[in-house]
Amino acid sequence: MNAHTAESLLRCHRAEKPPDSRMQKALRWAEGDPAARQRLKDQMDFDKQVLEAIHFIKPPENLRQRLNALGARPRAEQPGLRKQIINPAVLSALAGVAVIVGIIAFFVVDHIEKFPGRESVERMIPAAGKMTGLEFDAVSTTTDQLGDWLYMHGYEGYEVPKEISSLPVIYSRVFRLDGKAIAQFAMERHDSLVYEFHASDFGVELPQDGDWRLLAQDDWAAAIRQHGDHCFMILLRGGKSDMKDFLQSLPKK
Amino acid sequence: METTSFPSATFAEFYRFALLLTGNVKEAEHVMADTLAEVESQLAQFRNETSRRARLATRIRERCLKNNASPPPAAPRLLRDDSETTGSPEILKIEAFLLAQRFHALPEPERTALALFYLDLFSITELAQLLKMSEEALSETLGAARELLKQSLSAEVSSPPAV
Repeated sequence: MNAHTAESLLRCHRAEKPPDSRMQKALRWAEGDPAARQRLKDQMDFDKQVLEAIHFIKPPENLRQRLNALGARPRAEQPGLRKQIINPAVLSALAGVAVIVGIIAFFVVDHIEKFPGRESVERMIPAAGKMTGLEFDAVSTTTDQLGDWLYMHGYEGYEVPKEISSLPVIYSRVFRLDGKAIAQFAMERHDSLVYEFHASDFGVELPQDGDWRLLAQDDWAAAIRQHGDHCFMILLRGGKSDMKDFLQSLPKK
Repeated sequence: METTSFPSATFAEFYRFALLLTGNVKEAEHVMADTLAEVESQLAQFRNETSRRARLATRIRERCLKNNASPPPAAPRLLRDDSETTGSPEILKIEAFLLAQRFHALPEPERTALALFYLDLFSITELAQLLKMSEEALSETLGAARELLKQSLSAEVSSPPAV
């Protein structure tokens, strides 16, 4: 064993530990070198003194309880969540996040509610509020028998939504918007109007056989969905929640 | 908070480690409390005790280094008479406190290396791994740390007593 290796090992010597074979060789080397032997003796004496002092450090008897108490108590240098939230910088950041979330939510909702042809549909809604009832013809039929009547009055290709098939119809008419025919009728059971028109006539594009899409305008709520080129729209006075209740009362499609 | 991951003797060694690194009792207690609160639940994930010890030692060290921005408080005078080999507990207590102060003033990684070397919580190989250095570099570090500590304590002994 050379001097460099031996001295390197001896600096890691722990007197209280049984030496392994390499350390034994290093110790033997030190025995044969007076200067190294003296250095090792000084080192061991110093280590002994330090160890004595270190082992005089006694943890408090109740250290564990003290640590438990300290760990459970909020520290001054570790501000709690409440304190951090009161911090103006944190408040500003939270306000900023809230605004961004609000804007995103607005755009998401707006995107969900928007669909091609919506403007055309919205033009149909206000007219309902101005109707007197004289615009309609009184009929006595059911929704699934209304096709012939509507055809005779200028609306081709009537198809009844499954949810309202076989329900009594008391008033009906066909009117035109931008030259395109729209069938409209009132059912006896419900205080509601049903519109039917061809989606392509008004540029409406909704998911095929999707769920009812709700719209609210003035005092009216509308629900619209598409089947093929047929657009069905139910209109009633009230809000979206009224419409939801109404739709839930209908048989499933 | 549970503190049952280690036998009491090992637990006491970690307390001494925290005291040597911080240089004062209160800070050592806070470091131990905060570290245990943080890692106690993680320690159960380690299958062998050496890993648990390494985890705790590393976190105590990191926390001490983070808290070491402020200088240590002034050390008390070394009161023990060198001719007295069996000093009273009171005198030895002050020596231990002084030693902690002097350890606290050592640079890193000498301070951690020497503290863990004396506390015998790890083998030399484990200690080198913990400090991310070779065994030869650890040997050099221990040698340098001993010299610095010796100088620091000698200066304290030779300086005139405070009035």
